[in-house]
Amino acid sequence: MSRIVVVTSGKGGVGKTTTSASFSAGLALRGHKTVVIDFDVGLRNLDLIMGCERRVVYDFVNVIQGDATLNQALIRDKQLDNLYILPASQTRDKDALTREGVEKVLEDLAAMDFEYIVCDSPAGIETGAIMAAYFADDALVVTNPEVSSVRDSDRILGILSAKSRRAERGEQPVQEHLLLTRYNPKRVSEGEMLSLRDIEDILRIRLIGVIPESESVLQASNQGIPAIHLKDSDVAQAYADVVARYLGEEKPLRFVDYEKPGLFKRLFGSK
Amino acid sequence: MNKTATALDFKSATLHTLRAVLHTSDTVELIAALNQRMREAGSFYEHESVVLDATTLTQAPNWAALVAAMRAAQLHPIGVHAAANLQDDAWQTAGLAPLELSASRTAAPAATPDPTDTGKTGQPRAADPGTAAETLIVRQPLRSGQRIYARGCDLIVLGMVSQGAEVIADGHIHVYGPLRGKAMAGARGNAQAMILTTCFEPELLAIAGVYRVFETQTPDSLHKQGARIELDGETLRIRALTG
Repeated sequence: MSRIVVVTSGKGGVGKTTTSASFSAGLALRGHKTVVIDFDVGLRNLDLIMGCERRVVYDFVNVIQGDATLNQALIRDKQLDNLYILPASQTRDKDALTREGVEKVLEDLAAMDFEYIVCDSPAGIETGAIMAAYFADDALVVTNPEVSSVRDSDRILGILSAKSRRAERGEQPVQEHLLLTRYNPKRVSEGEMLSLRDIEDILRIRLIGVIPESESVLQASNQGIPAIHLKDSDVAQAYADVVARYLGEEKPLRFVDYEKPGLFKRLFGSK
Repeated sequence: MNKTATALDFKSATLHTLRAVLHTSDTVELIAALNQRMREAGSFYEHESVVLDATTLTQAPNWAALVAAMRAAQLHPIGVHAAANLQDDAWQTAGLAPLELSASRTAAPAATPDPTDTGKTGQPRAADPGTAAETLIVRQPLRSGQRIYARGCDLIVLGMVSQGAEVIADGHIHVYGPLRGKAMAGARGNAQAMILTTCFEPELLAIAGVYRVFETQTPDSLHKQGARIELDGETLRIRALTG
């Protein structure tokens, strides 16, 4: 049985694609055969973050329209041989995603023994986002510690609870997980960002992890390496924790408290 | 978008309609009962659209005759909810659509809060004439952009009402969780309607059209406390829920 996970947020620029890349790589690192699908038709980014943009020949829309087979369109990750990427089309319209077409692709992927199918949702609440969310079993709701992002996440949660296939069929609801990204404990302590507790109180869903704000995310994106592969970085550790918690392990939260820099650090000034 | 595409838009709509529950497949008996009901009701049901609920039937009545009798009685049958084997060609000639009505009202979980369009409303199950209006119960949080309307009855929300969500009822509104959005009780003018919540932090409250906006924060003493709101003349009175 494969499990379909949508990475969604409503708002753009909060870290959905970064999360999709690292989360799927993390599942693959744990030995699970995983595929990550870019639903952002027209504005594809996932292939860049995964560093496989030069190997894109066929895409998701080609498969839906029958111009290519899944095997032709799937790209094997350059580092993990149990991770595959199904890129989005850059040239097509988002209306190319039909519910039947998406369902067929997901069924075919399940038949290929993928354990996890990660759907990288586009921003907004239009066709692409609805399609990415419709078939989901689990949702990672990516949220930044600021009010507009929290509001949009709330909106997306409402759509998941009412419009997903599980809701329509009256099945167990979609498992919702809150993932806070770009969390800066220092700015939270200074009152510039919403705190973890504020956000949990507003959204009231289970917190699966907190990813600290970090410059290494940008570096990783530019190099085409999912951030989870950055050795010894706090971001990589935080994503590894998220994957572990998703798989049912207990992990204490890290990188959420601000520690004042000590004398030593202030004297010798490190970053 | 090209020009032809803007001439027409498809939007969703929720229809309030009569449900004619068929208890027998005997067409003669059905028509006789129909005519008797229509005589008793005077013009009450005239020109209403009707959905035929044939879910309990195992045999098809004569659809064409039944529809003709309904049309003669100034009703507009629009569709049928029935087992697939009861469908026949007469549906098409009679212009009936196969429909799905929600399950029986007692067994049904709370109406699914309506998602994206703020223009839509949730519908409570239609009450049988003669029974008390039932309460619409929502068992999941209502989130930003969702709106629910308890038409002709009370509304109970077991969970929170997020900022940007709206709860509306013709009767009372109970929110067992944070009320952060908008709540409008007595929507059709019932001045006795109340709003009750266990955690008071709304954006807007209204009872029978008298409303108050909470732009900054709710009154200090009751912020995030239990509260009950009633209409007192032309003002909304907000008090602690208990005591």
